[in-house]
Amino acid sequence: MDASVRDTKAQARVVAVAGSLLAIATIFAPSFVAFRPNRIIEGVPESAVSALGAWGWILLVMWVAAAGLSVAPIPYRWRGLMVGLLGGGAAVVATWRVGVEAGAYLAEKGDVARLSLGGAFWVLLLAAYLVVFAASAWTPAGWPRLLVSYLPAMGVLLLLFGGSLASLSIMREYENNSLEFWAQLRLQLLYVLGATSLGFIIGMPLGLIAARRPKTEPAIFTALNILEVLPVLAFIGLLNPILTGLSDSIPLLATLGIRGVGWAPVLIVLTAYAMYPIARNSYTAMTTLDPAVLDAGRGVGMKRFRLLFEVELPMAAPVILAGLRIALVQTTAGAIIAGLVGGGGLGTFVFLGAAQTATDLILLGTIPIVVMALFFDRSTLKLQRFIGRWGVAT
Amino acid sequence: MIEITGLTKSYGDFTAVDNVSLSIPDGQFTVLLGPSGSGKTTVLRMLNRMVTPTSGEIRINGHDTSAEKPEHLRRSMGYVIQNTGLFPNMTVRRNVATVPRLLGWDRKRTRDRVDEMLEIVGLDPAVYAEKLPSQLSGGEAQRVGVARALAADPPILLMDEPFGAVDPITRDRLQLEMKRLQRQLKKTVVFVTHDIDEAVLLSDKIALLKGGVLQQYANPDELWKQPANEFVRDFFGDSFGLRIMVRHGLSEIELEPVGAGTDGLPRVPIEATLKEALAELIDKRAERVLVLDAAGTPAGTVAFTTLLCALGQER
Repeated sequence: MDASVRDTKAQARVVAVAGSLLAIATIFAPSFVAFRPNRIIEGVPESAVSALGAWGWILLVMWVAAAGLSVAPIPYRWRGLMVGLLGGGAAVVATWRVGVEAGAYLAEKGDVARLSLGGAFWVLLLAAYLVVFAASAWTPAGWPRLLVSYLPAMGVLLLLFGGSLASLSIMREYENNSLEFWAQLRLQLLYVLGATSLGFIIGMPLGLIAARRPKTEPAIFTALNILEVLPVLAFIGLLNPILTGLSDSIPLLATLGIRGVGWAPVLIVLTAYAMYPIARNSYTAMTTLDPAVLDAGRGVGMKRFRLLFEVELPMAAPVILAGLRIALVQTTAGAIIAGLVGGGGLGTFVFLGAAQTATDLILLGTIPIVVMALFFDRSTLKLQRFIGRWGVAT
Repeated sequence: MIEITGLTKSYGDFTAVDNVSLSIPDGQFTVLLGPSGSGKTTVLRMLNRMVTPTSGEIRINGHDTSAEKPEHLRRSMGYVIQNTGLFPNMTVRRNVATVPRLLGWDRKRTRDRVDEMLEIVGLDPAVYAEKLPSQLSGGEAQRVGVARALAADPPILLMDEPFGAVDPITRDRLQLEMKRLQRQLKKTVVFVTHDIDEAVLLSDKIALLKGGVLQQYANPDELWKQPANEFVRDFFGDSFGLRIMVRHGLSEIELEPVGAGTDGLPRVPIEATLKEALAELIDKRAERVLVLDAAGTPAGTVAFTTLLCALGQER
């Protein structure tokens, strides 16, 4: 084991202990869940120990054990497996028990009553993530690490789709909006993938042109910078009269649904935002290629396009992909704005929830966005590492 | 046959290469030598038109190279550069196959050729073919660079300080192998370096440049015996005679018969160079060495004073 690996493992110990202690704190924190007679009343917050009864104390024992094992002199591989499964398991148990409590509360108070998850619960999930993250650094790559990393998430998904969480307030919001939820989720995905693809199709060539024709670089990046710093609502506001005018004068556009509000301005704004990181990374990638490789490519008789497609773009790919990754995550969050200007998407729930002060409706919109952003981030990072395996800068 | 006539390259007011004329016969190992800024790399890069000459002419087997498409010209010349320039996104096999693919060879022929080339440069295809350049050592990468350059069997090989970035021990080995390879494959090699020892060891003829002007074009012995001017004499320096001793072997000189009392003498094989024999004398503080023939039996002796005069008349 070399020094840097040993260092990482020692540092992971600090993270694991900090996570466990944070989790212990959440068990006593006052706002683990809130019992509410109906969906807009604030309700009575309660801590885990009072709301979950004996299970609260079981959680406490699990976390104390996790903290203790984190510093115990056990080989790292076993320590990682035990701490990871304890921490992840505790998160699954907590989720399961709040689901059960919610069922009992609703059975007692009727269907309009709500059991909402409080701040302490979300912090508990975060703490569990930290502990699992640290434990996965200890476990050897392969099935033990996969087990530690993904078993807790599988557990929560199982509870979710198995119906154990159906009585929780956020799931009640989902029940009431389930058809719309999937439609808006689909729309959100369309915005993200559409805008990022368009941003790539326009942004990457712009970056290449700027790299190849240095005289065009200031013009291209000044324009992209201006678009990037325009506040989103101002941007949509500026587009409104233009699109309205176009739609009024060209019937075809109106038939396509291109108007001053709705999906068109949202897609344009998101595309504009996505262009910048992609163009910037493409430019950087193409201007920092190893000149010896390009010289050799020309020297063996490759023509320009062949060199571009067989050598330059593959070499630049990891850096360009890093730009695409930034654009994807940024657009996933940015697409919320569609909910405000009649464009739909998950933002619909966020803004509706904000208007009704229904926190769980806001979460119904926000959680999928967070999951989506994490998924895009991880999967493109994997792709980037795979493509970057030949040792070009990532 | 490469004929260079009145070759000139100017960048604005600066003349990088000034009216250079050279004639390079087939199969000759030609070294372009000179201090940095002497224009040697520019001359090389004009040969495959990576640099377009300002004026002058380059004819290969009588054909003016400016009449040909640069890409096609380059495919007929191997090209090896200092930092290997291997494509990092391609395996060793694909790197070596570059020019055959450009020339549209079929798969089988390309594959066989790649295996053959890797073996020629001393790399086992089974071990190296599927590696990526990032998994190679400096010396291995440079061998792959040479294999790539030679893959389509070009008659001409251009090398721009190919061994400049490898460690000294690997460099020595690569130099010897390069020399063997060139003799075996009978390529016309044009080789740029600023390293005098490398030039002396590898070259049939050296073209010495300074400030873009050709100073002298001759084999190392001539450069030593008849330097064209002060610059040539100073460039090679006082130890030039010692340096060119690597080019001559004991087999070139007349041995004295083995007499009595030669048993205690230091021994060298007859394939040794004069420099190696001299080094042995200095090392053992002896005045005479015993030369062994291929079978290991004493063939004769050589005295220190004989070695001194072996390079011919004084200059």
